[in-house]
Amino acid sequence: MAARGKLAGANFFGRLSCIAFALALLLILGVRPARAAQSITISPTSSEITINAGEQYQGTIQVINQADSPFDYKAYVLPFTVSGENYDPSFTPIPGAIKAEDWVSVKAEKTRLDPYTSTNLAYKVGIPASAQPGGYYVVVFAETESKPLAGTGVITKQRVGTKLYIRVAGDVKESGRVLTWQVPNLQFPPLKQLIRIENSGAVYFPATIHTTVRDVFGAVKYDLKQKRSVFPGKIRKVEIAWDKTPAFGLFKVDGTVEYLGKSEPLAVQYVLVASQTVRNIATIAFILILAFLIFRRLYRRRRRKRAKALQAPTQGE
Amino acid sequence: MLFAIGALGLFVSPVAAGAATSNTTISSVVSPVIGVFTSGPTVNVNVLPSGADAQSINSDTVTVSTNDAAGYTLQLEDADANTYLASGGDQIVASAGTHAAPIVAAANTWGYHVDGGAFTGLGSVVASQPVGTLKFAGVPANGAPDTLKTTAVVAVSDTTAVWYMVYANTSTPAGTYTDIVTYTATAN
Repeated sequence: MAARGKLAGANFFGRLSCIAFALALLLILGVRPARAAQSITISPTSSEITINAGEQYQGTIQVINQADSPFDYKAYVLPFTVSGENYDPSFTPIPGAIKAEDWVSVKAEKTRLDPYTSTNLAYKVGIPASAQPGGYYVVVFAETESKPLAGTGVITKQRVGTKLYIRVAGDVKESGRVLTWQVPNLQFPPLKQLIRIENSGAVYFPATIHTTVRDVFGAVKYDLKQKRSVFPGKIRKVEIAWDKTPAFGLFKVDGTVEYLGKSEPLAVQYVLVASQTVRNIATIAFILILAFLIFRRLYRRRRRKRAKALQAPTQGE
Repeated sequence: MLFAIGALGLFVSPVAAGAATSNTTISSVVSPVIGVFTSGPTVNVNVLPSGADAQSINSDTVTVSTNDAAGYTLQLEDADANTYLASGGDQIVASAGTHAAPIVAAANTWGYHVDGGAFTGLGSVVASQPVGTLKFAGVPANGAPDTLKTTAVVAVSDTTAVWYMVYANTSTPAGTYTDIVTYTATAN
């Protein structure tokens, strides 16, 4: 009987420890219910189309599901513009502007994508015969459809887009310039460069920025080439930061900006990079040297005074 | 004998005997892509306002990958013009905070937080606790998105944690409150 009681007690503690273990495991793994990941990918990210007024252009975009759960998606076209020099994308219609989004139609092969599959999204650009030469910009979006939520909270949708840079052929003003090339001569790491490019024409142009950072011996330490679009009537600010800038160094920075068939050189700039730690050490070293020099001067002055004091009684005698 | 050695040489070394080379050009076009991945299409932020005010916070992780050398821009906005969480006719309104000037949550509001910038503190999961010091912004209406991140280089699974908060009290009618938020990832 006592043995049975001991056995029952052991079972009870065994079950209790099992429950405790399960609870601990649940806490470690998280009490939140598992959520199905959702991923939507689009390719290409942009397309440049030059077309005559009254003509049509047909293209395809690929939409990809790279996750393990299926999703439904929809495709639509919105106007594309940018705001500010940081080029925050904006997809809201501009009052009074030509609705170029109405010129583009999209047709999806299917609107449900199974895990790890892709589909083609056909689009057609039809330019009215009355369209004026110039640039028109739209974005074709693929957006996941929302799913119902069991409980209070947020339902999220993801959308990715292909930008269409449409150029209606004809005579249009094309002009631009590099407004700013700024590399402060004394910097904390990372070494930063700022370039501002202005498009004063009537049509978008791509600008290829190529900058190089060299050390004092001429060895290339950082080389970056990147293409940025510049919208008509806009200024685009491009900030370049060399993430692996050392804590201390003297560097020579130069480069070029290629746009509208020309290459504009960026004047050579010399930059001294010093981190806060390096600056602190330099300040302490400077103070110590200064203190040493003052002390030495005082010491010498005192020695001279003492020598004079010793000579004075001798002269008196 | 000489003939035998010559024949053997030809047999053993056929390449040397017939030395012919041709070059093959390998070409590959790597297409520009951008993809956005979230940990789930829904984020539950349930609240149990037992007596006093209670705030719950839960996160969503948005992962963006692009081979565009200029990077990407990630934006967040409501799917429509109504920015409140709705349960039938009942509402939990959006926080009065903005992305530029987020605020500590007020009762019967909801909002989002991203670590860094004007948002002080680091997001963490909270289940029906008294209001903390974490700051939140209201999700903006469709057409006026908040830019969460702008990058300038190729992105490989670059993650952004978005923390959603609901702050309710006993004056909030019980119900299931939901709203739809859209993430937009655009190559720069």
